Amino acid sequence: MLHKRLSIVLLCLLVILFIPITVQAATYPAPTASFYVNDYAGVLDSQTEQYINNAAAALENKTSAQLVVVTSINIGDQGLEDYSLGLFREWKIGSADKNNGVLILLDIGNRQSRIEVGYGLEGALPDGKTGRIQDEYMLPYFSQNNFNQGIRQGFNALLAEIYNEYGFDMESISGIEAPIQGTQGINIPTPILIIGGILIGILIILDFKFTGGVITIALLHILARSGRRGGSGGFKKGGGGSGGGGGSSRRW
Amino acid sequence: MKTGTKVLIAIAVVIIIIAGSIISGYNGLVSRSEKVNTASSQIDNQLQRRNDLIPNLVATVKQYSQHETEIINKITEARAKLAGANTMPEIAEADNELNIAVNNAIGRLLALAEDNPEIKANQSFIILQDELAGTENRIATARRGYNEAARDYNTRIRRFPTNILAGMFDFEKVDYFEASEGSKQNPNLNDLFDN
Repeated sequence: MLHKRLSIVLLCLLVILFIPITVQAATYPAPTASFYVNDYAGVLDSQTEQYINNAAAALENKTSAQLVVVTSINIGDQGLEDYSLGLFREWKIGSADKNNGVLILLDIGNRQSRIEVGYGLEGALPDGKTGRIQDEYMLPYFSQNNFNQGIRQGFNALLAEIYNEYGFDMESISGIEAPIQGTQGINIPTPILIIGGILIGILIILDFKFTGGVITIALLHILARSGRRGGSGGFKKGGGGSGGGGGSSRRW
Repeated sequence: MKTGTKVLIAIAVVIIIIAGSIISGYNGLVSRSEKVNTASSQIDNQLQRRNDLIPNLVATVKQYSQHETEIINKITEARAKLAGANTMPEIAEADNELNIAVNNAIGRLLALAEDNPEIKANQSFIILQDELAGTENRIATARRGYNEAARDYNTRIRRFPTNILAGMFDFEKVDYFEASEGSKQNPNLNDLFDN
């Protein structure tokens, strides 16, 4: 009886001695259900979100690479590089064996952005290139507070580089756009906008006059529903990738 | 069962547990020590990467200004010191000096860029800056990874009961890679794009 008790005590002691010390890590937000788009700052329109979601899902399907967008109102006191890498590793962006993740991080409060590149894509996206992508495709839009376009074009530029790295021809892939440089920004000529606006206005007035607005309301419902559907495509998550601090940062 | 058999079984169980924990303790020490080695070679990789970039930086400085010999000499000295460094504290110190020298050179180029729009527009200078900043960031990451591995390992060889094993099998404490304050200040690349 005594021996039994003694051995139980010994066993407990040994178990306690070998319990590892756990370290409290900095906390990052959990990824949204769609994983590829995490618009915490609320600067992306639903059309852009849906586009990025679809294009990033197609990219992962074809190449296993994960291209993730995160916008933040303010990342706080933590340095941009620290935060970006911490988030990247916490979410495990990219596949575990190829480490082929890329993170576009936008910190609106501090007017800074960063492209973080996983180990596996450092060859395809050297720091200089990610810097150039930000200079040409993102910052010109950001400086006009057009975060929607800046993210979209930066995303497209990175998408093209990653597809290229895996030997895909951009033309052969449907549903993705070629990136547009942001020197002047892209503008739909004003007359077309005005005419389009007037036409839509007339149609809505006619609709309300003759049908009591049935078509308008139905269209609004469809729009609202398709917007919601974008966020409910099942939970995706990181593939286990990691990075070592590759990429580049910009302020504007 | 007789009491004697019970005692024997109990003793056997205790011995198996102790032997098992010695083996797993030893293996834990070995794998932690290997992690320290891997992390330290990560630092070497990144230091080498920066070393490869520096000739470009020196060439760029020379291209835009002939009389920056002091800046270039500092870089050369620090590189030589880093090449001769063997222990972690030596490497950390030399790395710090090289950091300061490199940042001085970039700072000088940025100052020159104020009056010389040619520098500002020079794509290869912008790329070089990004690569140097990225490398510094990678060194910082590798340094953090190394220090974490070293802390884990050092803690393990000082904690009871693994400290007994560490003493028996000659596991020695490893040095940390301490960065001094100066090296934490990266040059501000964005000065180029602010205006």
